[in-house]
Amino acid sequence: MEVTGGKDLISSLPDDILVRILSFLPVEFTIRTSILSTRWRHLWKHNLVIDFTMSTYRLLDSEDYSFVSRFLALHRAPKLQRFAICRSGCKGFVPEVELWVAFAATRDVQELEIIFYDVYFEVPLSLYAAKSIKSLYLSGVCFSSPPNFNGFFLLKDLSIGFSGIGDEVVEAIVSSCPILESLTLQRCSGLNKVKIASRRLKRLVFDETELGELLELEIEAPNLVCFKYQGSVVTFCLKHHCVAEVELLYRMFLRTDIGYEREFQEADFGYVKTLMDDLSCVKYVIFPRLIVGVY
Amino acid sequence: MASAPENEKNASAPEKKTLTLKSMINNEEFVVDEHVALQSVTIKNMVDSDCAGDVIPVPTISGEILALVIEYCKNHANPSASEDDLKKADAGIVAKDIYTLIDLVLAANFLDIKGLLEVTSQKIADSIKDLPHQDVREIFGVENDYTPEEEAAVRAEHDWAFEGFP
Repeated sequence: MEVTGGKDLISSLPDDILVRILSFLPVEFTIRTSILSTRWRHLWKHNLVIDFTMSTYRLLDSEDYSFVSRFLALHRAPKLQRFAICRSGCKGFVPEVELWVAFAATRDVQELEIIFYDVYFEVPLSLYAAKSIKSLYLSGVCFSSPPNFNGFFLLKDLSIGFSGIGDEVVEAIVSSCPILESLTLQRCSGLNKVKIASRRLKRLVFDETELGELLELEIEAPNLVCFKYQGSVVTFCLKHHCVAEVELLYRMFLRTDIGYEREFQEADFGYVKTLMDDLSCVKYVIFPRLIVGVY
Repeated sequence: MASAPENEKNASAPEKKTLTLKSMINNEEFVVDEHVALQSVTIKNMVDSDCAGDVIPVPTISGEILALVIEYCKNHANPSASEDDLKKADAGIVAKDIYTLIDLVLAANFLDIKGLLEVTSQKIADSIKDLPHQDVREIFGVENDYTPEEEAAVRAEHDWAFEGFP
């Protein structure tokens, strides 16, 4: 036996373990390992994870995205576990998004995360070709029309934030993800009367901030165990009353009949409680700084 | 707590099957419940194909490292452990010096224990991410075989990644 433990083992770390270690490091660090030795020169190109969100590098504040394209052109792993990029302070549309998503889709990406905070990008059509996707997180997206696609058959975890998305788009996507377990809609606009119908859904988080835009939320999810809602007071319709954990965080403002907001008043608790009668399983409602029991 | 041993005595549960793992580095032996050891895909394959004798020899892994591996497997074989408990326990197991971690990641790879491989790789990544190249070379036993010209050329290929880096 040649290897004897201790320091002698270290030079024998196989490439696949080294590549695995690289997958936990920021992209620019992985590239810099190319100058360690000739053996390391191309290791980073086999990383199964391409995650620009770990980058502390100032390039993520620059307007020039050519480094991402150059990086992708050199990458050699035939499959991708994860592709992630995050940007804020963007001044305009980034046409490269189309190429990134197509790249990830052709490499059977399992986790895709594209986060833009202050610009909407049109959802690239190549996204719908990403059949291996298990986890999808999009922010700053604009869905113009319901997608015409067969579905994400492996998608379990879907999160859409700060995006423009219509009622029918949400319904179309949810209904074409047969094993979806977790859905988060955070600060999306364009939602008025949403119906979430999903057999396998266990967790639904709805964070609505466009005041008063959402009027009705209908949920038909027999396996739902956790439902969290944050936003103004709306009408809920839960078709199946078996949710174990419900958390409602209402904002301090209520829409009134004539359409403007006023501050939340004590009398409103009674109103909320009538809404809650439909939710026989609700444990508690959280108001800012107040917790009201519902029975 | 006081009544626990008594309960054990009274319990008429069927005898638990155990396996003995033996480090071939220092001949240390560990008796573990079978369901704990079977978290290793390598051991599971041996048992499934009837290749495992009374004592399963584990080459290239020292007793010290094997003890850590078994601790990990025990934690993760406990059905009542919460996700939080496991996270804390994992953090304790990988709170080791870099050379122990490298032995551990090799052990996890050899025994094919995916979760342990992940947490150990992550910990190694965390430990090296702020180190200068010379230290990373030392840790991984890498000898720089570039000529200065070649090294400069490799740097130039990806100048953006080296911006602000000595």
